[in-house]
Amino acid sequence: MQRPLDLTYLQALTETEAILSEIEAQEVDIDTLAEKVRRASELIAFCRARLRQTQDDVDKVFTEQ
Amino acid sequence: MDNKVYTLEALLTELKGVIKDSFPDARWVTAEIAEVKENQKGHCYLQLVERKEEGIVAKLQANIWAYRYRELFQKFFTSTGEPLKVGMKVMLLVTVDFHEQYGLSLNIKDVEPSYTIGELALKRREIIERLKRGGLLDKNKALMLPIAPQRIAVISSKQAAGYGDFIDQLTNNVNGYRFKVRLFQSLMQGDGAEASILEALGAILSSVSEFDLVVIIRGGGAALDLSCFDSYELAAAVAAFPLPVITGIGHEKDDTILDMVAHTRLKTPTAVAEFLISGLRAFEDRLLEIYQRLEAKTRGYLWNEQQRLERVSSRFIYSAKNFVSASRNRLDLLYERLYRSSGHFLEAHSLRLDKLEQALRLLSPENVLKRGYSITTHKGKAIKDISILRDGDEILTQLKDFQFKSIYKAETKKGGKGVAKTVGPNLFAGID
Repeated sequence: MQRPLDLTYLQALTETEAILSEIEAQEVDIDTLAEKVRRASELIAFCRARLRQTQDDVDKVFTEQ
Repeated sequence: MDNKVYTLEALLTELKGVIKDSFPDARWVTAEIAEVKENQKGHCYLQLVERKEEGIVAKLQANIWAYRYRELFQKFFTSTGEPLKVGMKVMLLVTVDFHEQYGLSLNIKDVEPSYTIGELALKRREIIERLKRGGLLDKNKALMLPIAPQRIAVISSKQAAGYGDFIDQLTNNVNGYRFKVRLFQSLMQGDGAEASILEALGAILSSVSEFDLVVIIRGGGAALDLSCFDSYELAAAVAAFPLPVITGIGHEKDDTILDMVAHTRLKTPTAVAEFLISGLRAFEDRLLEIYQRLEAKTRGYLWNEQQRLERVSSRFIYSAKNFVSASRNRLDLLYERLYRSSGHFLEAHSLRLDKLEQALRLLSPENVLKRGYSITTHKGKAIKDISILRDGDEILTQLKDFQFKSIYKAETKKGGKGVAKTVGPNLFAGID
């Protein structure tokens, strides 16, 4: 499994959605659920941070003009 | 043959008389000007010729005296927009003069400009026709104007007021746009202007990659002679030029042929400068618009992404919790089923045990006695075989509510083995 930092935003989001649909379809093992949940929240945190950073960057670019 | 001998002067004087008598009045004559010059006194001297396909077929000097010349010049220029010049076809009212020293010449009394205008128009039409045939008329117009032209090659005369206006306008534009202007000096009117402009075009062509477009401007002062802008060679060079050419020649007359072939034709140098500035302004406006659209799109995109992430996140929390509680429910159910099924199991077993117990109880000695059976024992052991008894043995018989002792006495009557004689029937009554 790649560390979130090595992923692109889209990769992270895609993986999160894949985990989510597994859980929603109840295809997960209870044994691995905790691991999956941890992984997914890590990915979501990563996506949030990336998004916020991008938003800040964009704001900066547009206010510099 | 006349045998009289004349002096040269006498001969020529006679000739002069003959000519004067033969050509008493002025006559209209058409000719082409092959040479023209003014001297300091203001007289104008011309060389008139007539050409046919084989070349010059007639040639004569002509002059306009200063007092006539000023008047004729004005008249001619007002109508044609041009002075008398080489190559021009003219219709002149002349008298034929002969001078003993200077020979034969024509003295010009009047000029008919409409003839020249017609000739010029014809010549102009021919040039336009030739350009059209060569595919040159719209060639420069077909070039794309650069998106934001800033590197300008200017063909003009440095002293011309028009050039100064052009530079002022470009430099002091309110938007603060910068232009890189390089002047290619040239004569802008009269003889030699055509060659000079062609030379300037050649110079630009040799460093063509340094420029976005070419501007040809003149202005200020009276337009004395713009016929150089009607030349085929110049028009062809401009038409075929690899950069767009913009003209601002500054005249009120109909367009020159140069204007016709130029990419964009404007009246004055100032108009050319304004045109260039407005081009940049339009470009900047477009950039701004693109920039605003970019900003809106970017923000919209980020907003959507954020919404998406939030949705995923909340769905995720919900589904993870859901999953855990579903799993818990399943466990609870299992537990319950297990509990219930094990209960049944135990109940069934206990029932069986109860039955067994019951059956067992029915078989117990007490119950046997209740049903009216008795048990007879000897020394605490149930008598199952009579042969263990000897006469006189004391035996104990137990019934439901009482017991009694007997003494055993063997009898052989009726094949029986023995008979017990009860000692005291109620001896142990009540003992159970």
